Amino acid sequence: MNAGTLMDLILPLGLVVLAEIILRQRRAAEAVAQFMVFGLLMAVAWVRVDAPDLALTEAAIGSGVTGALLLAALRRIGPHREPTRPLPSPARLPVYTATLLLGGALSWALIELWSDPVSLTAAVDARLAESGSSNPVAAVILNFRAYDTFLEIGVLLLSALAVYTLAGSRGRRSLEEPGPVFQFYLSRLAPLFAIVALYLVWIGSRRPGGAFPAGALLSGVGVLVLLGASPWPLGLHRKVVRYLLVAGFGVFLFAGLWGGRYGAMLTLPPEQAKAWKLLIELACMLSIGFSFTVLFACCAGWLGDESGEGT
Amino acid sequence: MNPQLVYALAGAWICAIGLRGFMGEVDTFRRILGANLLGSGIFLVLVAVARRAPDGPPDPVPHAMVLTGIVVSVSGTALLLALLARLHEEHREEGEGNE
Repeated sequence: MNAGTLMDLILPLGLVVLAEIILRQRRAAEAVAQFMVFGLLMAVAWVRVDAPDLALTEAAIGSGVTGALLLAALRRIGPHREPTRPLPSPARLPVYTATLLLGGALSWALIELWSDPVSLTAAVDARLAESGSSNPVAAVILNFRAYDTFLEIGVLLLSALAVYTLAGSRGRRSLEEPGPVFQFYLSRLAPLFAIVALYLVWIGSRRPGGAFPAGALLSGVGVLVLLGASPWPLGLHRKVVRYLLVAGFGVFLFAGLWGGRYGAMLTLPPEQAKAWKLLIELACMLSIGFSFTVLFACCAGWLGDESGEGT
Repeated sequence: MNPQLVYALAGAWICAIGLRGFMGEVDTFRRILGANLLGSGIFLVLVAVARRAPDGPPDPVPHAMVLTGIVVSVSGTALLLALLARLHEEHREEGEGNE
């Protein structure tokens, strides 16, 4: 048994055990810390099943952004959290039955599935040339299944708007003045990160990359800038904030309607596909990055409507 | 047993544990953690399923679904957390009003 085989046994088992430990953790902050570790181990598992680009996104968004959101919300909820008490015993039996049924049924279905592998790789490869990108995952996301991605950006927009509205009338919470070292590095690193994000979008049509990792990177910059107690980016005029949030959805919608002239909604003619794809990805990158920044600021209670007039 | 199936089965049981957390916890914050675990389990199943065919590149369609799902899952979590935080603030204000 070599090291790789051993890892492929220990890692999945460890993930299941860690999931159970997270839920048994008595203190919520510790549970969140373990959840972030879980996300990183999950990313390693994805590398083991040949999905390195997904692993990057999971590490950045699934573990990083979610962890930041959970910690920010936990800090805001603070000492007023409800005490953890056990589930009343009559409710336990149905919950555990449902759990075992789900686990058992999924396992059985997966074992059955494995005996008869079906793959859409050939179907995607056959029409890859028409999609405007040579990376099959990017082709599926932005062309073959553009509808899913369009709705996803819609969900993100909806969530950002709802959270923005919920931010409350408490006004902005003042932040501590950060040290000079932090500000020095922030002012130099933030533009660099922005360039890397643009590069990720550009390279996305050929290699792993694209709007999602780029947006995650931008949101990281956004959160850092917020921690630097800078009024930017949330001090921007409300109208600009709204345009940035809507950009991805708007451009996607326009591209979809434009495609309507060539047949069905969201079908892009092959010769224009590449340009549209780049435009959609740039707009989505801005919206994803900015939405996550707004989501974080609202969950942390840093963004409020000072005048109380509503947003 | 091939290694991808082991990862898929682990994903199935992470789903089950997440469902237990989502339904079986009393604390709302823990329920949100449970829902996230459930999502992570589904992603692991999909990523492993994409690698079912023993040779050639992985299936891009499940990969695209996971990439889409990650963003939706974070959006949902953020909305739940914002609602939870707001709920706590309302409770706190009520508590202060009574004192």
